Amino acid sequence: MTIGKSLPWIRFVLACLMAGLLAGAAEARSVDEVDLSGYWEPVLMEDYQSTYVGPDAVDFTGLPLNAAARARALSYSDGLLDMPERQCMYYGTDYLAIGPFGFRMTPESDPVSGDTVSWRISPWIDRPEARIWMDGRPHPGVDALHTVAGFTTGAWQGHTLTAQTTHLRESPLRRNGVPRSDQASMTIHFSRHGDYLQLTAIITDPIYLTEPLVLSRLYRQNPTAYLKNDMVYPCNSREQSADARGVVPNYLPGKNPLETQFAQRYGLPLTAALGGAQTMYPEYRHALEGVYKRPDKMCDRYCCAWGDARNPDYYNRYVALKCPGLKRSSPEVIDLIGNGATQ
Amino acid sequence: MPVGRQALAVLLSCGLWAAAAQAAPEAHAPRETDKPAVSAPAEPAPGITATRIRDDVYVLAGAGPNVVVQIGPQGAVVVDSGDAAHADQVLAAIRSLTNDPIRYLFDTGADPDHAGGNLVLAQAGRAFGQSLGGPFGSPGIAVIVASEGAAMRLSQGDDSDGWPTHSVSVRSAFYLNNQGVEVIAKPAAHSDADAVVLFRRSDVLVTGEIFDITRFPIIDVDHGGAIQGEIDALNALIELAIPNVPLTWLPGGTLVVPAHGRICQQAELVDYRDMVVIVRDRIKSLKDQGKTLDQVLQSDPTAGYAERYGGKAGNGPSAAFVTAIYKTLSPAAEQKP
Repeated sequence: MTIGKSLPWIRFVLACLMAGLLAGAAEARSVDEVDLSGYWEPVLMEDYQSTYVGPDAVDFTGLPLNAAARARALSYSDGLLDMPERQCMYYGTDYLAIGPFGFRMTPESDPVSGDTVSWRISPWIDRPEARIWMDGRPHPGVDALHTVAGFTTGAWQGHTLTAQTTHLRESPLRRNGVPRSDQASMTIHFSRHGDYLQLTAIITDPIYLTEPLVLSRLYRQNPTAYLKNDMVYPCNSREQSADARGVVPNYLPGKNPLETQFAQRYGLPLTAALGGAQTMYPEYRHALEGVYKRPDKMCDRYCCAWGDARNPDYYNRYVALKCPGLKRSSPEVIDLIGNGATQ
Repeated sequence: MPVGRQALAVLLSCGLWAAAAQAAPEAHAPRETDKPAVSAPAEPAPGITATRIRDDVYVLAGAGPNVVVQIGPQGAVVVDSGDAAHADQVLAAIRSLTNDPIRYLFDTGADPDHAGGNLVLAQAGRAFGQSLGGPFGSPGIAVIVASEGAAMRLSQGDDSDGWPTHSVSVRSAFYLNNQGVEVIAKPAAHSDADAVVLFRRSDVLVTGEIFDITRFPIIDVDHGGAIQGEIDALNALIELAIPNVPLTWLPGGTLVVPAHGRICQQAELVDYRDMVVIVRDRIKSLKDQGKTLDQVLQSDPTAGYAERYGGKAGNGPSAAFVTAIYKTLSPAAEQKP
């Protein structure tokens, strides 16, 4: 065999070895690792009313609450938020799936091995940074601190990053007083599909939920998002309540003046508004047959998103998608969208 | 070698190489900068776990309530001694942390599970100025500090070495191991003997039975405990603890060591205080309507909280909590927030 004739084989062997080296290096890091980095903005489609513009008081629909959670939620008063010691409290990491905002994901690599040590999920003005540890470290023990961020570890399952969060501090499950206890835990699956990121969160809480709550959110990558940096908000509490220090606003059992408001507005029986596992499933519609009274107006608020309708960026980004026929100059635009204030 | 077999061998070797690379990912330990704020617990003595919560502060669990040990160049400062049955293990655990003597022992209350180990720990300690003896020191034993109420109750045992040597009526301050240590009496809360301890530089607040993350507070009515004192004490603890403001998104803030259970922060004190006040408000409303204690118990005033802090409303911790509130509610005119 001449050298000239053997060249293609030498090239093949070298190429194969290079491929093996590269593949080996990649495989050593993770079999199916997907790049999740970048800014992910929410696509406003799911659970819009409870997540974005609301929730209404005593709208507990779709939550697998037990009686204890319901009792606490019915005693909730918005006045709590005025308490100086509560003004700067963040929501927990589960607010990723409960809240309306986007986030930025950034990998942190080991400078020697190149392995991904963690994924950072940027903080927002009301949610702390979450860090998903990928290096196999164990979760802390039972006596360790519980924080709003909790402690999260992750691993790739196929092309999906699955994260487990424990050591969470108590936080609202819904912003109308539905509690989530400090004994809850959460699994989040991050699945990237091109420019879209699907987040599926499964929250279990032995204190307040009868079965896991499954939430999903869709995000779209936006490399030119208006939010390029972590959105942090230094907070200092202030005296802004007429109540004396130490007064805890709450409604006594049976005395919540807003208890029936949501149910009446949407023609629902109160039992539906009060939630429970059965309200999560489509079959529950059958239970409402004959008792559900359709409101006179199909939609009287939030019909075309919510926000400052005068803001062209907001209008083009959200309103035009939901109500394409609605013009910014239309006289009804404020009624259907709002001008930045809750209606 | 035929060309086909040659290529197959190369491909096979490539595949094996890649498989080997996949099977042996590089392991790496957590880096020093990534250490959690609270380190994993170790077991320095049988049945006792020690969790380091600050560079110089440890929490010992397993001897009844949490025992806190702060160590430094002047020796060990201990908050609560645990129950008598575990005193030797607690002492062994402290010895595993430092060979320096126990200088001060602070009692957060007079209950046997908090102060039962006083005698063993004190006798193993040594007060400053020991060599002078007589009125200038307490030879051979550590100084024991407690509230006046606790000092009265604890000064009745056979062996005076376990009695408090320093009582606190309102507040006493010490400068130990290069930091200020405040002992603040909180009368008529869990009982008439409560005190809280604040390590100012370490920023660790030890609450005693006023705050227990594992259950409803136990209000010991027979020993002077009362609901309003409990709420006042919780409000005072909230004022002493500092949350991580203004940089709320970063870890930080005062560490709060409850009587039992895990380490907490100010937010959990706030949640706990709110729970106590809300249950108090419900019971007060019912009592103002003329309801009897049995009727109040049947109305389940701990609804929403019993699953987290106690058993069912009709028995156990919930019933004891409700009963104590009912019995110690002040007349409406005297009610404070």
